[in-house]
Amino acid sequence: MAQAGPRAAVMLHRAADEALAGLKPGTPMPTQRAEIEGYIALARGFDPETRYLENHRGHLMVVKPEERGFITADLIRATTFTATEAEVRGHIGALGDAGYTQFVICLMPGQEAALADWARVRQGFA
Amino acid sequence: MGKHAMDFGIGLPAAADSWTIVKAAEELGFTHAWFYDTQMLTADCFVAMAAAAVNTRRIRLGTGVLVPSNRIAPVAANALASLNKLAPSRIDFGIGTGFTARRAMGFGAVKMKAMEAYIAQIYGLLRGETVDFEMEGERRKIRFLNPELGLFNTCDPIKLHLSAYVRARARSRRGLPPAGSTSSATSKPAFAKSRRCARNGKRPGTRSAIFRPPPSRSGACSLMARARIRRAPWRRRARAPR
Repeated sequence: MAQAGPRAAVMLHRAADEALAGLKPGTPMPTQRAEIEGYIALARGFDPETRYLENHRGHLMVVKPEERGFITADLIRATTFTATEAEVRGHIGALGDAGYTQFVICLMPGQEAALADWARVRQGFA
Repeated sequence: MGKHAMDFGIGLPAAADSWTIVKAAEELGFTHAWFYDTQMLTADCFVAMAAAAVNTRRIRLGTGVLVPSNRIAPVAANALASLNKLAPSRIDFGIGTGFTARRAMGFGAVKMKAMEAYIAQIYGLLRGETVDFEMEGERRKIRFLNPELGLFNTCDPIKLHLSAYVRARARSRRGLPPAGSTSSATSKPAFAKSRRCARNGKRPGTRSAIFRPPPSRSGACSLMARARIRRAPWRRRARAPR
């Protein structure tokens, strides 16, 4: 949750931006998901004048307590590279086959220990 | 597993002491560190990058991504050139129209046209050109006035990287298929190569790097910079006989 949850929460924030402020998400998002609909409903309760402040607090860094209930395992699976190590290697290999040249790991504050895990994955592509 | 080698980078919310993580990443073989430039959420990315620049030797350091509206062009060009002095040829300029950095302040993305003009200003300044710059509703011509003093580095190249969203829009405008990742850790600072090229069996090079040192400064840049310092007018005046 601490490592991948913030990335999944990005989808919630963007969905709220789109639904409540008319800002386009930019990248395709999973649609008609209960988690996203639930978060949008929550965001409707934020102060309308400064809704963006509450919406983006902790963005891509931490999962806020009030949004934790919407960060399900299924949403993480659908919106991040979270999987078994073998599956992750397969996904990255597929990216290489598709022409991608660099894979970037988003490190969350306080979760820097993940660097060693990703270094192990990296060695398979050196 | 794919048959192609893959670079691994880290993306991190800029902290004043991010260099400790970047140094560890370098030692573990990571090739790039991308610093979020989101002023209302993280520390200043250029401060964090400067500390990383002086504490690392190989890893490339990039803004991931800078948003034009949040730093005026002369400031951004200066910051990039200053970093380039600390870590020559290791600086990447990642730029996008802005999601998090602007949305955290309640604004939508900047226009593509404005971003393109901004990039032209940045690289014009880095090439030593005089560029048009507008501020407070007035237009002026600006340039770096004393690059020869070597206070910053406008000689070594700084690569340009566009975010996936920007690339997707640009490609869409040109009638090309989308190239970016849709929902992965790679989509923050994006490093997509063209799927069109992949289909053609080609491995396209690093994305566009439009900044090149002017011909007159190619080669031993630091030596030339020192030579120019020796010829600097204030030094000539200081040495002139009374």
